[in-house]
Amino acid sequence: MTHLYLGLLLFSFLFTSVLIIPFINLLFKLKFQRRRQVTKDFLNQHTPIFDKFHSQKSGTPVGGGVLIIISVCCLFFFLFHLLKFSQIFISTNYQINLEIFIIFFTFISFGLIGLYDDVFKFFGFKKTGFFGLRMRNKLLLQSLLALFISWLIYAGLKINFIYIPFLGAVKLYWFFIPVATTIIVAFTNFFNITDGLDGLACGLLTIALFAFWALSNNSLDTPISLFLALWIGALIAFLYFNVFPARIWLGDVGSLPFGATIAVIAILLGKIVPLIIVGMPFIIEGLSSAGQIISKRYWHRKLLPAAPFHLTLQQIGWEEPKIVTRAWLAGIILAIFGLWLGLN
Amino acid sequence: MAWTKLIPQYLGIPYRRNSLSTYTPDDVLAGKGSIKAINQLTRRLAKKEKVDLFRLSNKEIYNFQKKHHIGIDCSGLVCHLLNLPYNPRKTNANMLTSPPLAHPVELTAIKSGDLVRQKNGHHVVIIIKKIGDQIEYIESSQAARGVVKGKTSLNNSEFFKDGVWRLFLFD
Repeated sequence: MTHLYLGLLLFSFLFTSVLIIPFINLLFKLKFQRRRQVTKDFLNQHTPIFDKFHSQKSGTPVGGGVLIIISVCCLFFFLFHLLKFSQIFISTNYQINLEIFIIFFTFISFGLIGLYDDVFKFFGFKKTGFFGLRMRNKLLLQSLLALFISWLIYAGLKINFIYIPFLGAVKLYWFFIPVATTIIVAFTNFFNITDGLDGLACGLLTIALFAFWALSNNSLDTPISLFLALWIGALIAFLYFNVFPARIWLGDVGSLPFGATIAVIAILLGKIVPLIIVGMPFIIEGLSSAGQIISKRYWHRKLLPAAPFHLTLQQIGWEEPKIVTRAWLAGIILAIFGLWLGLN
Repeated sequence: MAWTKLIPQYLGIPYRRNSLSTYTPDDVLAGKGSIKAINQLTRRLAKKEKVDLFRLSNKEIYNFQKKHHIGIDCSGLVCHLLNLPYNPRKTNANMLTSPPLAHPVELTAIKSGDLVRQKNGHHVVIIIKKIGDQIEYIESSQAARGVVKGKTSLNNSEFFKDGVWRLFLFD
Protein backbone atom coordinates (compact mmCIF):
# COMPACT_ATOMS: atom_id res chain seq x y z
CA MET A 1 0.00 0.00 0.00
CA THR A 2 2.95 2.36 0.59
CA HIS A 3 3.33 3.15 -3.11
CA LEU A 4 -0.39 3.96 -3.25
CA TYR A 5 -0.13 6.38 -0.32
CA LEU A 6 2.90 8.04 -1.92
CA GLY A 7 0.94 8.51 -5.12
CA LEU A 8 -1.97 9.99 -3.20
CA LEU A 9 0.40 12.33 -1.34
CA LEU A 10 1.63 13.64 -4.69
CA PHE A 11 -1.94 13.95 -5.94
CA SER A 12 -2.91 15.96 -2.84
CA PHE A 13 0.16 18.16 -3.35
CA LEU A 14 -0.81 18.86 -6.98
CA PHE A 15 -4.47 19.43 -6.10
CA THR A 16 -3.61 21.99 -3.38
CA SER A 17 -0.88 23.60 -5.53
CA VAL A 18 -3.41 24.31 -8.26
CA LEU A 19 -5.83 25.90 -5.81
CA ILE A 20 -3.48 27.88 -3.60
CA ILE A 21 -2.76 30.93 -5.81
CA PRO A 22 -6.45 31.60 -6.57
CA PHE A 23 -7.09 31.02 -2.86
CA ILE A 24 -4.49 33.62 -1.82
CA ASN A 25 -6.10 36.09 -4.26
CA LEU A 26 -9.48 35.31 -2.75
CA LEU A 27 -8.15 36.02 0.76
CA PHE A 28 -6.84 39.39 -0.44
CA LYS A 29 -10.22 40.12 -1.97
CA LEU A 30 -12.05 39.20 1.24
CA LYS A 31 -9.50 41.23 3.25
CA PHE A 32 -8.58 38.18 5.34
CA GLN A 33 -5.28 39.83 6.13
CA ARG A 34 -3.18 40.26 9.20
CA ARG A 35 -3.91 43.69 10.66
CA ARG A 36 -1.42 46.18 11.99
CA GLN A 37 -2.06 45.98 15.69
CA VAL A 38 -0.70 46.85 19.09
CA THR A 39 -0.64 43.56 20.96
CA LYS A 40 -1.35 43.20 24.64
CA ASP A 41 -0.65 40.22 26.88
CA PHE A 42 -3.03 38.62 29.36
CA LEU A 43 -2.15 41.26 31.98
CA ASN A 44 -3.20 43.93 29.48
CA GLN A 45 0.40 45.10 29.11
CA HIS A 46 1.92 45.98 25.75
CA THR A 47 4.28 43.47 24.14
CA PRO A 48 6.73 45.68 22.23
CA ILE A 49 9.10 42.84 21.27
CA PHE A 50 6.28 40.92 19.60
CA ASP A 51 5.09 44.05 17.79
CA LYS A 52 8.65 44.90 16.70
CA PHE A 53 9.14 41.57 14.94
CA HIS A 54 5.62 41.17 13.63
CA SER A 55 4.75 44.64 12.38
CA GLN A 56 6.25 43.96 8.94
CA LYS A 57 4.01 40.90 8.61
CA SER A 58 0.79 42.93 8.57
CA GLY A 59 -1.06 42.63 5.29
CA THR A 60 -0.19 38.95 4.79
CA PRO A 61 -3.33 36.93 4.04
CA VAL A 62 -4.36 34.59 6.86
CA GLY A 63 -6.54 31.50 6.53
CA GLY A 64 -4.51 28.90 4.65
CA GLY A 65 -5.94 26.35 7.07
CA VAL A 66 -9.30 26.60 5.30
CA LEU A 67 -7.80 25.45 2.01
CA ILE A 68 -5.92 22.55 3.61
CA ILE A 69 -8.99 21.39 5.55
CA ILE A 70 -11.23 21.55 2.49
CA SER A 71 -8.67 19.82 0.23
CA VAL A 72 -8.00 17.01 2.71
CA CYS A 73 -11.69 16.43 3.49
CA CYS A 74 -12.77 16.39 -0.16
CA LEU A 75 -9.88 14.22 -1.32
CA PHE A 76 -10.25 11.77 1.60
CA PHE A 77 -13.93 11.09 1.07
CA PHE A 78 -13.55 10.82 -2.69
CA LEU A 79 -10.45 8.61 -2.57
CA PHE A 80 -11.58 6.47 0.36
CA HIS A 81 -14.76 5.53 -1.47
CA LEU A 82 -12.76 4.99 -4.64
CA LEU A 83 -10.47 2.57 -2.76
CA LYS A 84 -13.50 0.73 -1.40
CA PHE A 85 -15.15 0.67 -4.81
CA SER A 86 -11.92 -0.63 -6.41
CA GLN A 87 -11.92 -3.41 -3.79
CA ILE A 88 -8.49 -2.41 -2.57
CA PHE A 89 -8.02 -4.00 0.84
CA ILE A 90 -8.62 -1.56 3.68
CA SER A 91 -7.16 -2.68 6.97
CA THR A 92 -8.06 -1.05 10.25
CA ASN A 93 -7.86 -1.92 13.90
CA TYR A 94 -10.98 -0.17 15.14
CA GLN A 95 -14.57 0.38 13.99
CA ILE A 96 -13.73 2.12 10.75
CA ASN A 97 -16.66 4.57 10.69
CA LEU A 98 -16.08 5.76 14.24
CA GLU A 99 -12.35 6.10 13.66
CA ILE A 100 -12.93 8.27 10.58
CA PHE A 101 -15.60 10.27 12.40
CA ILE A 102 -13.24 11.03 15.31
CA ILE A 103 -10.45 12.22 12.99
CA PHE A 104 -12.68 14.47 10.90
CA PHE A 105 -14.72 15.72 13.81
CA THR A 106 -11.47 16.95 15.41
CA PHE A 107 -10.20 18.39 12.14
CA ILE A 108 -13.38 20.30 11.35
CA SER A 109 -14.70 21.30 14.80
CA PHE A 110 -11.41 22.82 15.95
CA GLY A 111 -11.17 24.46 12.53
CA LEU A 112 -14.54 26.12 13.08
CA ILE A 113 -13.42 27.54 16.45
CA GLY A 114 -10.31 28.90 14.75
CA LEU A 115 -12.28 30.34 11.84
CA TYR A 116 -14.67 32.08 14.22
CA ASP A 117 -11.74 33.58 16.09
CA ASP A 118 -9.98 34.62 12.87
CA VAL A 119 -13.06 36.34 11.50
CA PHE A 120 -13.29 38.38 14.70
CA LYS A 121 -9.65 39.38 14.32
CA PHE A 122 -9.87 40.28 10.61
CA PHE A 123 -12.85 42.51 10.99
CA GLY A 124 -11.65 44.01 14.23
CA PHE A 125 -14.71 43.11 16.32
CA LYS A 126 -14.25 43.88 19.96
CA LYS A 127 -13.66 40.76 22.05
CA THR A 128 -16.34 41.12 24.64
CA GLY A 129 -18.59 38.53 26.22
CA PHE A 130 -18.53 34.83 25.36
CA PHE A 131 -19.04 35.24 21.64
CA GLY A 132 -16.02 37.49 21.35
CA LEU A 133 -13.99 34.36 22.25
CA ARG A 134 -11.56 35.58 24.85
CA MET A 135 -8.70 33.24 25.70
CA ARG A 136 -10.55 31.55 28.55
CA ASN A 137 -13.67 31.04 26.45
CA LYS A 138 -11.60 29.59 23.65
CA LEU A 139 -9.94 27.21 26.13
CA LEU A 140 -13.33 26.21 27.50
CA LEU A 141 -14.66 25.40 24.03
CA GLN A 142 -11.51 23.48 23.14
CA SER A 143 -11.73 21.52 26.41
CA LEU A 144 -15.36 20.60 25.81
CA LEU A 145 -14.61 19.39 22.30
CA ALA A 146 -11.52 17.51 23.48
CA LEU A 147 -13.54 15.93 26.29
CA PHE A 148 -16.14 14.69 23.82
CA ILE A 149 -13.44 13.32 21.50
CA SER A 150 -11.66 11.59 24.39
CA TRP A 151 -14.94 10.07 25.53
CA LEU A 152 -15.56 8.76 22.00
CA ILE A 153 -12.09 7.19 21.95
CA TYR A 154 -12.60 5.67 25.41
CA ALA A 155 -16.17 4.45 25.09
CA GLY A 156 -16.36 3.84 21.34
CA LEU A 157 -12.91 2.53 20.47
CA LYS A 158 -12.28 1.02 23.93
CA ILE A 159 -8.87 2.64 24.33
CA ASN A 160 -8.18 3.11 28.04
CA PHE A 161 -4.42 2.81 28.38
CA ILE A 162 -1.14 4.45 27.48
CA TYR A 163 1.60 2.38 25.93
CA ILE A 164 5.10 3.22 27.11
CA PRO A 165 7.83 1.77 24.88
CA PHE A 166 10.04 -0.80 26.65
CA LEU A 167 7.85 -0.69 29.78
CA GLY A 168 4.48 -1.82 28.44
CA ALA A 169 0.91 -0.66 28.83
CA VAL A 170 -0.38 1.42 31.73
CA LYS A 171 -4.13 0.98 32.17
CA LEU A 172 -5.83 4.24 33.07
CA TYR A 173 -9.49 3.10 32.86
CA TRP A 174 -11.81 6.18 32.99
CA PHE A 175 -8.85 8.39 33.93
CA PHE A 176 -7.84 8.03 30.27
CA ILE A 177 -10.49 10.66 29.40
CA PRO A 178 -8.94 13.59 31.32
CA VAL A 179 -5.44 12.54 30.22
CA ALA A 180 -6.43 12.46 26.53
CA THR A 181 -8.35 15.73 26.90
CA THR A 182 -5.28 17.41 28.38
CA ILE A 183 -3.05 16.12 25.59
CA ILE A 184 -5.44 17.33 22.87
CA VAL A 185 -5.94 20.80 24.40
CA ALA A 186 -2.22 21.18 25.15
CA PHE A 187 -1.15 20.30 21.61
CA THR A 188 -3.84 22.53 20.12
CA ASN A 189 -2.43 25.53 21.96
CA PHE A 190 1.24 24.55 21.68
CA PHE A 191 0.88 24.39 17.90
CA ASN A 192 -1.02 27.67 17.83
CA ILE A 193 1.76 29.36 19.84
CA THR A 194 4.45 27.90 17.57
CA ASP A 195 2.78 29.36 14.49
CA GLY A 196 4.55 32.68 14.90
CA LEU A 197 7.33 32.61 12.31
CA ASP A 198 7.14 32.04 8.57
CA GLY A 199 7.17 28.30 7.92
CA LEU A 200 8.02 27.33 11.50
CA ALA A 201 4.89 25.52 12.61
CA CYS A 202 3.99 24.09 9.20
CA GLY A 203 7.49 22.81 8.52
CA LEU A 204 7.70 21.18 11.93
CA LEU A 205 4.23 19.71 11.48
CA THR A 206 5.15 18.24 8.09
CA ILE A 207 8.21 16.58 9.65
CA ALA A 208 6.14 15.26 12.58
CA LEU A 209 3.45 13.96 10.24
CA PHE A 210 6.02 12.03 8.21
CA ALA A 211 7.05 10.23 11.41
CA PHE A 212 3.43 9.42 12.28
CA TRP A 213 2.76 8.37 8.71
CA ALA A 214 5.55 5.80 8.98
CA LEU A 215 4.08 4.61 12.30
CA SER A 216 0.56 4.35 10.89
CA ASN A 217 1.86 2.41 7.90
CA ASN A 218 3.54 0.05 10.30
CA SER A 219 0.28 -0.26 12.24
CA LEU A 220 -1.60 -1.29 9.08
CA ASP A 221 -4.23 1.41 9.57
CA THR A 222 -5.49 2.44 6.13
CA PRO A 223 -7.75 5.40 7.14
CA ILE A 224 -5.02 7.11 9.18
CA SER A 225 -2.32 6.42 6.58
CA LEU A 226 -4.53 7.81 3.81
CA PHE A 227 -5.51 10.85 5.87
CA LEU A 228 -1.87 11.61 6.75
CA ALA A 229 -0.71 11.19 3.14
CA LEU A 230 -3.31 13.70 1.93
CA TRP A 231 -2.57 16.08 4.80
CA ILE A 232 1.19 16.01 4.17
CA GLY A 233 0.68 16.59 0.43
CA ALA A 234 -1.53 19.62 1.07
CA LEU A 235 0.85 20.95 3.73
CA ILE A 236 3.87 20.79 1.42
CA ALA A 237 1.99 22.81 -1.21
CA PHE A 238 1.02 25.32 1.47
CA LEU A 239 4.54 25.42 2.93
CA TYR A 240 5.93 26.60 -0.42
CA PHE A 241 4.02 29.84 0.06
CA ASN A 242 4.43 29.92 3.86
CA VAL A 243 8.24 29.94 4.04
CA PHE A 244 10.03 33.26 4.58
CA PRO A 245 8.82 35.73 3.37
CA ALA A 246 5.35 34.22 3.78
CA ARG A 247 2.67 34.93 1.20
CA ILE A 248 0.03 33.20 3.30
CA TRP A 249 -0.46 32.22 6.95
CA LEU A 250 -2.38 29.34 8.43
CA GLY A 251 -4.40 31.39 10.90
CA ASP A 252 -6.20 29.93 13.91
CA VAL A 253 -8.44 28.10 11.43
CA GLY A 254 -5.39 25.96 10.62
CA SER A 255 -3.33 26.01 13.76
CA LEU A 256 -6.07 24.92 16.18
CA PRO A 257 -7.27 21.85 14.23
CA PHE A 258 -3.77 20.78 13.19
CA GLY A 259 -2.51 20.70 16.77
CA ALA A 260 -5.59 18.84 17.97
CA THR A 261 -5.59 16.37 15.09
CA ILE A 262 -1.96 15.31 15.44
CA ALA A 263 -2.67 14.61 19.13
CA VAL A 264 -5.76 12.56 18.26
CA ILE A 265 -3.84 10.59 15.60
CA ALA A 266 -1.11 9.82 18.15
CA ILE A 267 -3.73 8.63 20.64
CA LEU A 268 -5.42 6.45 18.01
CA LEU A 269 -2.06 4.94 17.09
CA GLY A 270 -1.24 4.39 20.77
CA LYS A 271 1.89 6.52 20.36
CA ILE A 272 1.58 9.16 23.05
CA VAL A 273 5.23 8.89 24.17
CA PRO A 274 6.51 9.28 20.56
CA LEU A 275 4.14 12.30 20.25
CA ILE A 276 5.92 13.95 23.18
CA ILE A 277 9.28 13.39 21.48
CA VAL A 278 8.23 14.28 17.93
CA GLY A 279 6.22 17.26 19.17
CA MET A 280 8.98 18.51 21.48
CA PRO A 281 9.51 21.78 19.50
CA PHE A 282 5.81 22.59 19.98
CA ILE A 283 6.02 21.68 23.67
CA ILE A 284 9.07 23.92 24.19
CA GLU A 285 7.31 26.82 22.51
CA GLY A 286 4.11 26.26 24.48
CA LEU A 287 5.81 25.78 27.84
CA SER A 288 8.03 28.84 27.34
CA SER A 289 4.88 30.86 26.82
CA ALA A 290 3.10 29.28 29.79
CA GLY A 291 6.21 29.77 31.98
CA GLN A 292 6.36 33.43 31.01
CA ILE A 293 2.70 33.94 31.93
CA ILE A 294 3.13 32.21 35.32
CA SER A 295 6.33 34.10 36.06
CA LYS A 296 4.82 37.47 35.15
CA ARG A 297 1.69 36.80 37.12
CA TYR A 298 3.17 35.40 40.34
CA TRP A 299 6.73 36.76 40.48
CA HIS A 300 6.12 39.95 38.47
CA ARG A 301 9.16 39.39 36.34
CA LYS A 302 9.92 37.80 32.99
CA LEU A 303 11.33 34.30 32.71
CA LEU A 304 12.61 34.95 29.17
CA PRO A 305 13.26 38.25 27.35
CA ALA A 306 10.25 37.39 25.18
CA ALA A 307 7.91 34.42 24.82
CA PRO A 308 7.36 32.10 23.06
CA PHE A 309 10.91 30.87 22.71
CA HIS A 310 11.29 31.86 19.03
CA LEU A 311 10.79 35.51 20.01
CA THR A 312 13.67 35.21 22.49
CA LEU A 313 15.88 33.91 19.68
CA GLN A 314 14.78 36.83 17.47
CA GLN A 315 15.48 39.22 20.31
CA ILE A 316 19.05 37.96 20.73
CA GLY A 317 19.65 38.58 17.05
CA TRP A 318 18.93 35.37 15.16
CA GLU A 319 17.42 35.91 11.71
CA GLU A 320 13.94 34.47 11.18
CA PRO A 321 14.97 31.96 8.44
CA LYS A 322 17.87 30.80 10.64
CA ILE A 323 15.55 30.07 13.56
CA VAL A 324 13.10 28.22 11.32
CA THR A 325 15.74 26.14 9.53
CA ARG A 326 17.40 25.13 12.79
CA ALA A 327 14.02 24.28 14.30
CA TRP A 328 13.34 22.03 11.29
CA LEU A 329 16.67 20.29 11.80
CA ALA A 330 15.88 19.76 15.48
CA GLY A 331 12.44 18.53 14.38
CA ILE A 332 13.99 15.98 11.99
CA ILE A 333 16.25 14.54 14.69
CA LEU A 334 13.39 14.39 17.20
CA ALA A 335 11.12 12.79 14.58
CA ILE A 336 13.72 10.08 13.95
CA PHE A 337 14.04 9.47 17.70
CA GLY A 338 10.25 9.41 18.10
CA LEU A 339 9.93 7.03 15.18
CA TRP A 340 12.50 4.70 16.71
CA LEU A 341 10.63 4.77 20.02
CA GLY A 342 7.29 4.27 18.30
CA LEU A 343 8.50 1.17 16.48
CA ASN A 344 9.51 -0.44 19.77
CA MET B 1 -13.80 -20.68 18.05
CA ALA B 2 -13.77 -21.91 14.45
CA TRP B 3 -10.05 -21.21 14.31
CA THR B 4 -9.25 -23.96 16.83
CA LYS B 5 -10.32 -26.55 14.23
CA LEU B 6 -7.29 -25.53 12.15
CA ILE B 7 -4.81 -26.24 14.96
CA PRO B 8 -4.10 -29.93 14.10
CA GLN B 9 -3.10 -28.91 10.55
CA TYR B 10 -0.43 -26.53 11.83
CA LEU B 11 1.03 -28.76 14.56
CA GLY B 12 4.46 -30.11 13.70
CA ILE B 13 5.36 -27.52 11.06
CA PRO B 14 8.99 -26.40 11.52
CA TYR B 15 9.82 -22.97 12.83
CA ARG B 16 11.04 -20.67 10.11
CA ARG B 17 12.01 -17.04 10.38
CA ASN B 18 13.69 -15.34 7.49
CA SER B 19 15.32 -12.17 8.70
CA LEU B 20 15.52 -10.98 5.09
CA SER B 21 11.92 -11.90 4.37
CA THR B 22 11.37 -8.73 2.35
CA TYR B 23 13.63 -10.09 -0.35
CA THR B 24 12.02 -13.54 -0.50
CA PRO B 25 9.07 -13.57 -2.89
CA ASP B 26 7.66 -16.79 -1.46
CA ASP B 27 5.58 -16.35 1.72
CA VAL B 28 6.37 -19.87 2.88
CA LEU B 29 10.14 -19.37 2.66
CA ALA B 30 9.68 -16.13 4.60
CA GLY B 31 7.93 -18.01 7.42
CA LYS B 32 4.62 -16.34 6.62
CA GLY B 33 2.80 -18.92 4.51
CA SER B 34 -0.65 -20.39 5.15
CA ILE B 35 -1.11 -24.11 5.73
CA LYS B 36 -2.33 -24.44 2.15
CA ALA B 37 0.78 -22.75 0.76
CA ILE B 38 3.06 -24.78 3.04
CA ASN B 39 1.48 -28.05 1.91
CA GLN B 40 1.59 -27.06 -1.76
CA LEU B 41 5.27 -26.19 -1.63
CA THR B 42 6.10 -29.36 0.32
CA ARG B 43 4.28 -31.49 -2.26
CA ARG B 44 5.90 -29.67 -5.17
CA LEU B 45 9.40 -30.16 -3.78
CA ALA B 46 8.68 -33.79 -2.90
CA LYS B 47 7.52 -34.43 -6.45
CA LYS B 48 10.62 -32.75 -7.84
CA GLU B 49 12.88 -34.86 -5.66
CA LYS B 50 10.77 -37.96 -6.21
CA VAL B 51 10.01 -38.37 -2.51
CA ASP B 52 6.80 -40.15 -1.56
CA LEU B 53 5.43 -38.11 1.32
CA PHE B 54 2.89 -40.83 2.20
CA ARG B 55 5.71 -43.19 3.09
CA LEU B 56 7.41 -40.71 5.40
CA SER B 57 6.83 -40.50 9.13
CA ASN B 58 5.91 -37.18 10.72
CA LYS B 59 9.50 -36.77 11.88
CA GLU B 60 10.79 -37.38 8.33
CA ILE B 61 8.30 -34.85 6.86
CA TYR B 62 9.45 -32.35 9.48
CA ASN B 63 13.08 -32.93 8.48
CA PHE B 64 12.20 -32.67 4.78
CA GLN B 65 10.46 -29.32 5.34
CA LYS B 66 13.25 -28.08 7.59
CA LYS B 67 15.85 -29.02 4.96
CA HIS B 68 13.96 -26.96 2.34
CA HIS B 69 13.46 -23.94 4.65
CA ILE B 70 9.71 -24.52 4.84
CA GLY B 71 8.06 -23.34 8.04
CA ILE B 72 6.23 -20.63 9.86
CA ASP B 73 7.14 -18.04 12.47
CA CYS B 74 5.12 -16.99 15.53
CA SER B 75 3.40 -13.96 14.00
CA GLY B 76 2.71 -15.81 10.75
CA LEU B 77 0.98 -18.51 12.79
CA VAL B 78 -1.14 -15.89 14.58
CA CYS B 79 -2.19 -14.24 11.31
CA HIS B 80 -3.16 -17.47 9.56
CA LEU B 81 -4.64 -19.34 12.51
CA LEU B 82 -6.77 -16.41 13.68
CA ASN B 83 -7.47 -15.43 10.06
CA LEU B 84 -6.50 -11.81 10.65
CA PRO B 85 -7.24 -9.27 7.92
CA TYR B 86 -3.58 -8.19 7.78
CA ASN B 87 -0.82 -9.04 5.36
CA PRO B 88 1.30 -11.57 7.31
CA ARG B 89 4.41 -10.28 5.55
CA LYS B 90 3.86 -6.90 7.19
CA THR B 91 3.20 -8.09 10.72
CA ASN B 92 5.46 -9.09 13.55
CA ALA B 93 5.04 -10.21 17.15
CA ASN B 94 5.62 -6.72 18.52
CA MET B 95 2.92 -5.16 16.32
CA LEU B 96 0.38 -7.85 17.18
CA THR B 97 0.86 -7.26 20.89
CA SER B 98 0.95 -3.49 21.09
CA PRO B 99 -1.33 -0.59 20.19
CA PRO B 100 -3.05 0.21 17.94
CA LEU B 101 -3.63 -3.42 16.98
CA ALA B 102 -4.17 -4.74 20.48
CA HIS B 103 -4.89 -3.71 24.06
CA PRO B 104 -3.78 -5.33 27.32
CA VAL B 105 -6.16 -7.58 29.26
CA GLU B 106 -6.02 -8.81 32.83
CA LEU B 107 -4.96 -12.41 33.44
CA THR B 108 -8.35 -13.07 35.01
CA ALA B 109 -10.11 -11.97 31.81
CA ILE B 110 -8.15 -14.23 29.45
CA LYS B 111 -10.12 -15.87 26.67
CA SER B 112 -9.49 -17.95 23.58
CA GLY B 113 -7.64 -16.03 20.87
CA ASP B 114 -5.80 -13.71 23.27
CA LEU B 115 -2.09 -13.28 22.66
CA VAL B 116 0.74 -13.56 25.18
CA ARG B 117 3.56 -11.14 24.48
CA GLN B 118 6.98 -12.59 25.25
CA LYS B 119 10.67 -11.64 25.01
CA ASN B 120 9.78 -7.94 25.00
CA GLY B 121 7.74 -8.28 21.82
CA HIS B 122 9.99 -10.67 19.93
CA HIS B 123 7.69 -13.66 20.42
CA VAL B 124 3.94 -14.23 20.60
CA VAL B 125 1.86 -17.16 21.83
CA ILE B 126 -1.85 -17.79 21.15
CA ILE B 127 -4.14 -18.87 23.97
CA ILE B 128 -6.37 -21.74 22.91
CA LYS B 129 -8.42 -22.04 26.07
CA LYS B 130 -8.45 -21.52 29.81
CA ILE B 131 -9.10 -24.52 32.03
CA GLY B 132 -9.31 -23.52 35.70
CA ASP B 133 -6.02 -21.89 36.57
CA GLN B 134 -4.30 -23.46 33.55
CA ILE B 135 -4.17 -22.27 29.97
CA GLU B 136 -3.58 -24.21 26.80
CA TYR B 137 -1.60 -22.38 24.14
CA ILE B 138 -0.06 -22.83 20.71
CA GLU B 139 3.15 -21.27 19.43
CA SER B 140 5.76 -21.54 16.75
CA SER B 141 9.21 -21.12 18.20
CA GLN B 142 12.83 -22.03 17.67
CA ALA B 143 13.06 -23.49 21.17
CA ALA B 144 10.04 -25.77 20.62
CA ARG B 145 11.38 -26.72 17.14
CA GLY B 146 8.21 -25.65 15.36
CA VAL B 147 4.50 -25.39 16.01
CA VAL B 148 3.54 -27.01 19.30
CA LYS B 149 0.76 -26.94 21.84
CA GLY B 150 1.55 -26.42 25.51
CA LYS B 151 0.00 -25.89 28.90
CA THR B 152 0.99 -23.62 31.72
CA SER B 153 -0.36 -22.20 34.93
CA LEU B 154 -1.77 -18.71 35.23
CA ASN B 155 0.69 -18.29 38.10
CA ASN B 156 3.63 -18.67 35.71
CA SER B 157 4.79 -15.08 36.07
CA GLU B 158 7.76 -15.52 33.72
CA PHE B 159 5.43 -16.72 30.92
CA PHE B 160 3.06 -13.75 31.34
CA LYS B 161 5.76 -11.19 32.15
CA ASP B 162 5.03 -8.96 29.14
CA GLY B 163 1.28 -9.26 29.49
CA VAL B 164 -1.70 -10.69 27.66
CA TRP B 165 -3.06 -8.71 24.72
CA ARG B 166 -6.36 -8.83 22.85
CA LEU B 167 -6.72 -7.63 19.29
CA PHE B 168 -9.19 -4.76 18.97
CA LEU B 169 -10.72 -6.79 16.13
CA PHE B 170 -11.78 -9.44 18.68
CA ASP B 171 -13.50 -7.04 21.08
